[in-house]
Amino acid sequence: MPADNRGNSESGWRFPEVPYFWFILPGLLAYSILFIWPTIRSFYLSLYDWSGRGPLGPIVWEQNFRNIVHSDKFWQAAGNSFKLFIFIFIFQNTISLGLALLLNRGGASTHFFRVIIFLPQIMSAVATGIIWILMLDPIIGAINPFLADIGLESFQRQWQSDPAWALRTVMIVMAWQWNGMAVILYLAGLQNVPEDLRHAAMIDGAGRFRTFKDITFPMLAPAFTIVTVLSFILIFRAFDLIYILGGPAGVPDGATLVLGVLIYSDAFGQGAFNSQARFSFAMAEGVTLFIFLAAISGLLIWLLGRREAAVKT
Amino acid sequence: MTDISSLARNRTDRRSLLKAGGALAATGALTTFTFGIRTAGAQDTVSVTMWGNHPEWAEPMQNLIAAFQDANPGIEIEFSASPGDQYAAKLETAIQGGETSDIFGDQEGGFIVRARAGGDLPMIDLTGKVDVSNLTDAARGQVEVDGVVYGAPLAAYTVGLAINNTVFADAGLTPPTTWDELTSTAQALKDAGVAAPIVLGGKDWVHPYFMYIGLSSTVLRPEGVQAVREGTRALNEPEVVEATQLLLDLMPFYNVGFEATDYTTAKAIFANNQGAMMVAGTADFTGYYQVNPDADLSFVAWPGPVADSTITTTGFELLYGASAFSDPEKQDAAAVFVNWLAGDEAQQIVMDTISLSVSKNITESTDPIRTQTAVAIQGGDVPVWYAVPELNGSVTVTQDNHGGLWTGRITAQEFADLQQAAVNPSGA
Repeated sequence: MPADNRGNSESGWRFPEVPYFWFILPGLLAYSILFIWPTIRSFYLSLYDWSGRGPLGPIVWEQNFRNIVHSDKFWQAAGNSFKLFIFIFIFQNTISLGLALLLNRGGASTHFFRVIIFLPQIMSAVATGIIWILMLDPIIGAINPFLADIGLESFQRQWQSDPAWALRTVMIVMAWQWNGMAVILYLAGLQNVPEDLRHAAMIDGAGRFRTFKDITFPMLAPAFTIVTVLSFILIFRAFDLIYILGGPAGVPDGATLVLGVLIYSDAFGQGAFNSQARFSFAMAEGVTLFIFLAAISGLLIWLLGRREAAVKT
Repeated sequence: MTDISSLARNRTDRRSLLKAGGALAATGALTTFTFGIRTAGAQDTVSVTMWGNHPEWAEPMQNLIAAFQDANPGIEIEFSASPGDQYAAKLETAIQGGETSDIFGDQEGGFIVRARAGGDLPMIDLTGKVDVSNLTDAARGQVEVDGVVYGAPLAAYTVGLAINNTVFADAGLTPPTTWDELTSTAQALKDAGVAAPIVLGGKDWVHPYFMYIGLSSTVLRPEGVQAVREGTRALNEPEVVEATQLLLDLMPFYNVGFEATDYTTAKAIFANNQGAMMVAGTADFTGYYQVNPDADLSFVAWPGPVADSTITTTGFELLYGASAFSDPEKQDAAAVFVNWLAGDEAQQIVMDTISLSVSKNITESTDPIRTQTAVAIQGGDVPVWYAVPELNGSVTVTQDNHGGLWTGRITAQEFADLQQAAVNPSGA
């Protein structure tokens, strides 16, 4: 007589083999209700003409997606998102990586600096955005007077209203916010690089740069993959901090408009009195962004995964 | 002799009150303010619901409703207010579900749009039940569509120019009444070292929009705005374009970095005596005094292109009517309230404690800014453009293009052409 045949059905499904199912069920349900279903629903609603209120209008999917292709604002926002990603990518693979290398050396104050560097990541984006706005303000802000006080008057700018500087300002603030994530990920990667490999290279006469280039950086391939893919996704769907800094129109004149903010503005309008909320069009923009992010992220993971495999071999 | 059962009832009532207080606090924490004033001893009281969109007006609205209930003991109003930016979505969702408040509160322009769209209306015909004869023409135009009366506005608000009296007095200047004076005064203020002769929050569209419609309306005058609505005049006529050009010519006098200055920061600059003039609506002054309780401020109309051509733009708070989804008894109660709201007793309370009156007879207020506004309106007044269906498209054009004006992407003429293209003379 079998000791226990609970769940041993004719179909072959065996409860003892999937006990974790009950543990993941609440999370799976929540994920399905809060993410999977709205995502599927977004694809459906993007096919219609709908302002977000009342009954659905006619099916206009072709018009929605054609309007996206012909929308100057969409391409302006996409271009700004791309520039932002490129800047963050370069920043994280130079400054953030450099900070991670410094912190990896250890020392009495290492933990203190880790906290300081990671702090912007866990702070409220809205609160930090407002603080940055106040600091950058040309009348009541602190940054321009500070520059004047240290003899750098020529570096004073209208940081947020000068079209040439507005996006650069957003880039700097975003880099400040996302720096902590990259530093921690690279630091975790660095701690997995075997010390004996580095020592062997140095014994063979390799200098610090050569050791970094040929040993440390290749061994950081998994961390590089995670940092790159995460940054790509997070920057292209960035919203909160940029919305606070640039407002719904991405001031000045769309210079700081990114895809996340554009989609929000199209979906909910730019404030009271606005009768121009275009929910289904915004969903079509969201669907386009979703497909783009999924495709490029998949490509990045495949390409960088091959690089990781090459490093291992 | 004391009735024991009544003591028991009193205890229960006290407990109920405590519970109600707790529920009120919890509800308040969820950003919606709700209260109901019960009429003691009324056995056949009709209870009706009413929604508002200014939670900060809880106390004056409570007083207004209490005054109504004193005069109409058979009707009890349960009032709740949601933040203004959530109200439209709440109302439209409620209409779709057939669950609006009994006293139906629509946004300005709403009655016109709904009535002209036809079909089943969410509000009922109150012709003969609500006396609108005392309402101003603009107010009446909001609630009477093709001869059918649907209700009455709660209040009006007027947009013009706020003046910082302290800054003007320090510079020895007086508020401008013409465009030339506006420019020369701004220059004099700048020469006197004022950081922002004109404060503009250009980060969103609201300030530029009100400056645009205000200055353009000084050219058009009320009859010209009406002509644009009817399609017989255009917003891209050369003299109207000059108003947009003035917006650009005044750029040296705006606060530094105005293109990225948000509404709140702009208010702070102005109220803290770093700015001299600023676009302002009646309701904005509460915010100024919150920033600086000692601020010495006043309100004037928009300066015009020539002498005696000042103008103000006026909009309306919620338009109240009777819900089509309520039962007849509640509809009748709602009609009684709306009729009372349109009367002078209610409108004096509005003028003293809430905003501007919509009655022709009520021009005095215990609030000095409202009294000044009532004077400013005498120079000429037009509806805020977004409140009339024909000109509602001006909002989107401004949202999409005011930034282009500041950066030079588009000219004043191109901006005016876009505005004209958005005019819908049919109002459909």
